[in-house]
Amino acid sequence: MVGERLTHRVRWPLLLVLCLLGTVLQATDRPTQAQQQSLTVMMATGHQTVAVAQVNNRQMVALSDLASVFGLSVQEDSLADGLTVAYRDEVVVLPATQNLASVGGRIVTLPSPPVRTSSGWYVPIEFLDRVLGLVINTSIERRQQSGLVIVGDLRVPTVDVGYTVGNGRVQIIFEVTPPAPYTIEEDQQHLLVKFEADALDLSLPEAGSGSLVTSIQRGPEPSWLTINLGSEYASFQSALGNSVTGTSTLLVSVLSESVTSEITAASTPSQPSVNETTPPLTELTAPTVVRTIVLDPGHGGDDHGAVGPSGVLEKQVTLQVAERLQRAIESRLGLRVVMTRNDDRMVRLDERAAIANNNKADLFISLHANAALTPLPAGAGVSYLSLDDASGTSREGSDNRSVSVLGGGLRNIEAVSWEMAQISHIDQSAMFAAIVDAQLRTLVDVRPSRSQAAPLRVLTGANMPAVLVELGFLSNPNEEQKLTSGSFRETLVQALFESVVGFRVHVEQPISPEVGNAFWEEP
Amino acid sequence: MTTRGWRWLLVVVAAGMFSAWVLFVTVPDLYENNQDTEAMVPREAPTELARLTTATLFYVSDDGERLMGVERNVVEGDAPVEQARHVLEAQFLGVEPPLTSTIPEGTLVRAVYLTDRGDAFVNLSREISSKHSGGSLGELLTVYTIVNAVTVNVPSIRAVQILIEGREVDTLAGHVDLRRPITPRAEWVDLASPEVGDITVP
Repeated sequence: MVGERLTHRVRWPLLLVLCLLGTVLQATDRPTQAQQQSLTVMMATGHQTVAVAQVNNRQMVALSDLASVFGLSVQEDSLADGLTVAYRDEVVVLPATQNLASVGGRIVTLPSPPVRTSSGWYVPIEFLDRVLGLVINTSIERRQQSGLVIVGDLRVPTVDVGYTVGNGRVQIIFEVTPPAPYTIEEDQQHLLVKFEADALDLSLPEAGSGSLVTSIQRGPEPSWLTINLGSEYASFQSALGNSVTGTSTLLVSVLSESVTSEITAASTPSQPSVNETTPPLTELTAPTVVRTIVLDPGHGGDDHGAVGPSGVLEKQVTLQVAERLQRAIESRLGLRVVMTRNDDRMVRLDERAAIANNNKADLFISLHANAALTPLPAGAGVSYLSLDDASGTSREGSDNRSVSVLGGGLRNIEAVSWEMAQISHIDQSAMFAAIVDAQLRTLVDVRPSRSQAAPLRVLTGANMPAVLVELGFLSNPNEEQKLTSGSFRETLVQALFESVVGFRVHVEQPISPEVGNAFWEEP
Repeated sequence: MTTRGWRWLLVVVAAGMFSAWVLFVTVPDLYENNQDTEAMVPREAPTELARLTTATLFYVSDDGERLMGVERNVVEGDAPVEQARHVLEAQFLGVEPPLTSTIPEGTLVRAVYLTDRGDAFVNLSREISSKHSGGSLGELLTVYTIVNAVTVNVPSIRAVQILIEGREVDTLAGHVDLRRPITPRAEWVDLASPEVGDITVP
């Protein structure tokens, strides 16, 4: 009995002493200055830096810093043995001895309790995204790798930059997640790549120097990049491909004088017309890989396709543009062009792909005119096959099998379902779509979204790079009129012709895949 | 026995007879009468009020390029396949401006089937194809309206294949491959639309 009473008497003072001892011990903690890093807090109003300290082997930030950045008020609560952090009407209770926070009655766990140091209270960096977002009622995303803390709905795509060097060009690859529209501006010594974003979460390769590109660095604005050009720079090309994984790949090819001359020669003359004098084929670059192109005028026969408000039929527009493009490619590039239809007749979708496959085509271009459910949408566009919907199991649509061969033994073959033939060409199709998109943008109005992947039936069976080009919107009265004009059709043909030229250059003069440690140095 | 004793015996016998009369005659009559009364009251027809639940339906976004989500009350179904059908029937109803439907007028939901894999087969009437205005964008919006409406509102359904009058079809209007179940795609939804709420399209 006496013992119990003594225990009871001693319990509370003992706890008090232990708490005080703990507080004293905590007070002796020091943030390790040597290991300090920083977080960059990005808000709509700008960005601020918050220092990160190593406390008890854990990354922490000073509450006083967060208070000044986010307008918080911090008070010690001796009764609750902890802290209260207030923002307007919201209050967070942080017990000093428990790794949790109470936000309006909601319990949020943290990796460790707050720590009192000689310079004030510190909280784990997870406090930012787990607790603070709830308090200020705004999404907070913390990116571990880059140390960015994004407050609110800011567009901060990650941009990983890589490069390949060779054959008189530097090909710079920007992998942008999520995809962001961009423009490229050129002056004498720089290319400015301007992304439509609030900032960039940037990962740059190591610095170096070369004769085409000397370096890549952050631009003068948070969403810009600067490519510093070397003495041998002559021109550049760009192409954008959206992947099915939500990352777009922007390719910027920085070209030397010799490569620029080759490309210019291949695309001259620039005005396609059947009445023009056809240039001698000997002036043109002989095709080595792209020999046959299949043009597929969409719809036909009873299938009119889309019908414009004043009665223009998609099947007529696609056939007339395809015929002009056929003449331009045959006469100026000397390539073989096969049409899936030359007149107004119905051709099944499988048959269209079969025509391309049976002719061993190197490129398949399906031409269509778009229609929307409202008259507003306008602009040309290009699509390629989306992998997931086409195969159900993405690239697993192909299958490696062992088959017996004459004389004994086994040989591995890659078996691809006929109707899945496009799967092995998706990357090239995406690349060609990016080239078409870039060329269309230089000559005609295009839709806001860039080349995109879609489950398009006519492309699934094509055993070569294949895209579907929408020439414009018949459902838009202005575009319907434009699509009937000869000059507009010539412009479309010109853009598609230039795209074929660009694809030939891309295919027939492949960039060396090696990525050298010697930055920008020619191998 | 004295006179007084006889009197007491008489009272007890009378009381016993009265009790027996009450017990065996009056109470059963009362009980039977009550039964008859209850039986004579006409019973009201059962009023089954449909339970409603909130669903996100999809219509053409303001720029005409994508879909936007709009919250609407739909009939609540007991099973996923029933819920999917109710959602589609609500989705296929005509709408007034400023909303624009992606579904051709007159299209009916014939049936909805669900596999163990979570693939829904939606059997529609022929108007979904014969009255479609065409164009790859219009066709994509129609297809993803159906796919998103089902998968967003019935989480156990992961993909949707469209059938027309009970048959598998290549496309609605010559563009979108309908030979397999299609999974939802967020890129066709304007997530910034005001009523889109917390839709997460896988």
